[in-house]
Amino acid sequence: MTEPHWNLPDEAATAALATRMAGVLDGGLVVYLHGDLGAGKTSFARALLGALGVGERIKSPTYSLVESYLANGRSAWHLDLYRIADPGELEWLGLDALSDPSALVLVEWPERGAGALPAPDLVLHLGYAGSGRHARMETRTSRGEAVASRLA
Amino acid sequence: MTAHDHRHSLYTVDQVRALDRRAIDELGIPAYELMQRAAAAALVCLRQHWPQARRIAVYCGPGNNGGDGFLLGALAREAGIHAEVFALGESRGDDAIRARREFEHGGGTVVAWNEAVALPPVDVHVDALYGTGLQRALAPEVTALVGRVHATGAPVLALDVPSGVNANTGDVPGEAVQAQVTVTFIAPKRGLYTGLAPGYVGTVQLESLGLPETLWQGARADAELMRPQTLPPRPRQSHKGNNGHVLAIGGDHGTAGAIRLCSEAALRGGAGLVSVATRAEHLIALNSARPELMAHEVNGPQALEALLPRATVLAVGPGLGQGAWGHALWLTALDAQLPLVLDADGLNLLAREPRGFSGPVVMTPHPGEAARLLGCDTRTIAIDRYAAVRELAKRYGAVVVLKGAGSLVADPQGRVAVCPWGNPGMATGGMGDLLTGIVAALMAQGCDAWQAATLGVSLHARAGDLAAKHGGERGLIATDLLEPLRLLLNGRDA
Repeated sequence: MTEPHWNLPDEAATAALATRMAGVLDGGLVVYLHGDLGAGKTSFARALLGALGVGERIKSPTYSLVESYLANGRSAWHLDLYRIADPGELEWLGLDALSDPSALVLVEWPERGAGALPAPDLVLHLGYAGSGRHARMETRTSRGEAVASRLA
Repeated sequence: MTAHDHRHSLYTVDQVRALDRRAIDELGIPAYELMQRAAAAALVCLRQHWPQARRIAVYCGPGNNGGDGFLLGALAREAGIHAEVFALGESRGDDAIRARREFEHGGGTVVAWNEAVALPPVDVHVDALYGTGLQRALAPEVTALVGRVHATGAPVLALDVPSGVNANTGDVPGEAVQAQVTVTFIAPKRGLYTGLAPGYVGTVQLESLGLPETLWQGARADAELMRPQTLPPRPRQSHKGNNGHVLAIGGDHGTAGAIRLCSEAALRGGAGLVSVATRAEHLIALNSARPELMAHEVNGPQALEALLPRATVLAVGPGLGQGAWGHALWLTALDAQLPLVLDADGLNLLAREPRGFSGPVVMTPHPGEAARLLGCDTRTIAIDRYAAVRELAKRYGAVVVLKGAGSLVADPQGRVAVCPWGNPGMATGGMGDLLTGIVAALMAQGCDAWQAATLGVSLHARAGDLAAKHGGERGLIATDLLEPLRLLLNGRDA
């Protein structure tokens, strides 16, 4: 089975993909976002949260590591672990809430939090492709597969 | 974050700026985001090296390096580290000003530094004073601050480059920050690896800020960092004739040591045969100390000519002198049309009497010899070692090794390799004689001039590091390198 993948010619296309994903979500989901700087991880996360009705300004969690929101009545988390030197640093953040099965969890640079994060349902790989971007979706659980099949 | 090939490429400051611009213009990454990523990478580096650090002081200059510092201060505060931030002057440029505001909006207080301010007791100092743009000596008030930082005895993390070090050339025109760790962003700047810089940078850690590989594609680098390498194992059927014959020429009255070190290094460097053309008075000593050497009395050109037909490579210079004897042998050697390694008085004679070469040549000057060869002073060499080694290689049509911390190798087309190994224990007599012998032995075994020079420099420096690891830097002598050299040459690192 080939993994779902998309060519994203510009940032609007990345946002459109995120908006479509927002439309097919029906419960909690853990998404790992992989990609180089500028590949669109934060754009994707912001668009997804926006499409879920997060009205307040969606901040970049570069400073706080984690930002929490209420999206359609469910809790949503956006993490950027770029500045983590050791997964142990996450302990004092009290990330237990991330394991709430109804929560949406979006994680940038998840490899830096290995062991301290809930396992992903979906892994989205974003990369440069010419002047645009490319996205590839890897499913890890049946919950993730359900979302991916509705997206494809 | 895998190890990329471009991590062994070294860039000029202008080339790094071009990479910066490409990230901003072509990949569409805002400059401020790069600053945020740099600060985040710096915090990671700080916590990796000093996991127990609870109090830091950040010294921010007026430019973007200072901006990195303000954002690091903000991130450190978020992470529960007590960060005191000192500003030297008003921030200039939108990003630096925005970074300073961001730190202040987060509740941090910026202290305007002046001589009356007392430095706080901290676990780590962070140098965000000046970045890669600084080409001159630090101003007196900055020098005073740097002196006080050093006097506290606490370690320093430098952002991008220690302030006062010229990141383009490695020169340090005045005082400079002495860092334990330098976290350098996007790409390695060539100046961090040679000249005076190695005394200030400490451990250099590269953070490419998660930028994509495409950024480096087609980007030109200025030089390459040498990687550990050696020769492949010998074929089982080889005989001594396959491995070349080095003829070492030198050792005038009173300088037997230099020629012995050179020729013994040629033996340990794997030459099949090593002959020595020297003064009669050294024969007994050479033969009894190292019977594998074939030492010949040479009183002038005729005696030397008789030895030339059997030689594959000539090593000319150690202990040669610049008198009539040395000069006559030097002329004969240069006319022999054999591959040559020129060192010491072989180079001093060349500076007096410039000429071209017909075959492959490796020259191994230290900065003093390089200055004589270029007709300048050693300060001029130190100001830009990259320019000096390229000019030497071009002018003399040879592969040139410019010795000293961060040895450089250049060919006449301008290719440059930088040696990241070596230690201050190697600043003793005879080390250069060894290098001459090693390079000659590698040429005798079939390496071309470039391969012999780069491999010879790297093996020599790594052997020095191995010897220093076992016995320390002080008191290290040239012959201590011979055994580790042999291990490394055979691919044994221990």
